[in-house]
Amino acid sequence: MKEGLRRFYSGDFNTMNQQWQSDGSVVITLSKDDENKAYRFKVTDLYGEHEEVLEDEVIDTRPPTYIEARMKEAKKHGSKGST
Amino acid sequence: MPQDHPDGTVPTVFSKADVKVPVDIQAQYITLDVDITAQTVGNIAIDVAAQSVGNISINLAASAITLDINLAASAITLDVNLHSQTANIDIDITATSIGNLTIDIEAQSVGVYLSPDWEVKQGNQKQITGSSVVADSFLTSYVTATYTVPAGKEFYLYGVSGCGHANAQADGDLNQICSARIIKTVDAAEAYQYLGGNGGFTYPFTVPIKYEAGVLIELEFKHIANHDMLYIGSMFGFERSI
Repeated sequence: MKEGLRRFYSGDFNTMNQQWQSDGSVVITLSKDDENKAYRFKVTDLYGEHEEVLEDEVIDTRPPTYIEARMKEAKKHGSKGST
Repeated sequence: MPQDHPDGTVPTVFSKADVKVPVDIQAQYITLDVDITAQTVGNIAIDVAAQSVGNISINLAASAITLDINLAASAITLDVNLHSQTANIDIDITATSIGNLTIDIEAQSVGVYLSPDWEVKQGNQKQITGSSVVADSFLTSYVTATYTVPAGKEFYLYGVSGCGHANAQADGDLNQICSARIIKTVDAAEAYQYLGGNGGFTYPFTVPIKYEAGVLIELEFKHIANHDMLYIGSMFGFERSI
């Protein structure tokens, strides 16, 4: 069983997004607090006897490195800031 | 080699770096004094099956303590005295009746959380969102978000929101009527909560709806508008183990 589908059926997530497609398939994205990643997979016949995961991927949900650098810099300066 | 005491007791001293002592005692009467002085102690599993147990005194002195206690008895007296700078205490009581419950807290600050806030703090919150584009097919129903409560858990639904808007710019200023319902399916039986609005809706529930393991929850929109719509729905609440 794919990790995304395992998390779907075990409830091992905090947020879930489902994009239902016109062909009846659904793209599901699951994420959990503080993991910095999300599981996205496309599945047909969800809950059905012939359920099948067609595509799956793990997404890095961390902010871009330049944003992390700015946050790190802001924390370093505390509440003083620069003029 | 330690000598047997005249009363029959046998003192035993272990002084190696790593000691494993599996002990299986079956006796009518036991006096067991255990004194452990070690840098670290791994797992200590104690399973006591007896008709009656006398006094058990436990004195723990450590920088960090994790103590899972599962007591099943017809009557329990449990005196707990904690001296600590910080303490997280999770208490889950399942009982037909509770007698006196006396709590005496002396602290500089105490945080009290309502159940939903506490579950979020524990990382048990759930936000389930879904969307579907609907062609102009009057009174046809479309599921936008689904969830089946896993085995061993129960889900508390605290609110739901929905949004519907035109899928084409030419229809953007028309009424965007949303008709939705939450479906709970168990053994082909269904229960509903009906929702609706023009353009969208948000309903926080003052009393949560509880769903048990195995229940399929669906947020379903019924297409009423006379143009193609995009429907987005969200259910939010928390889930905990039972």
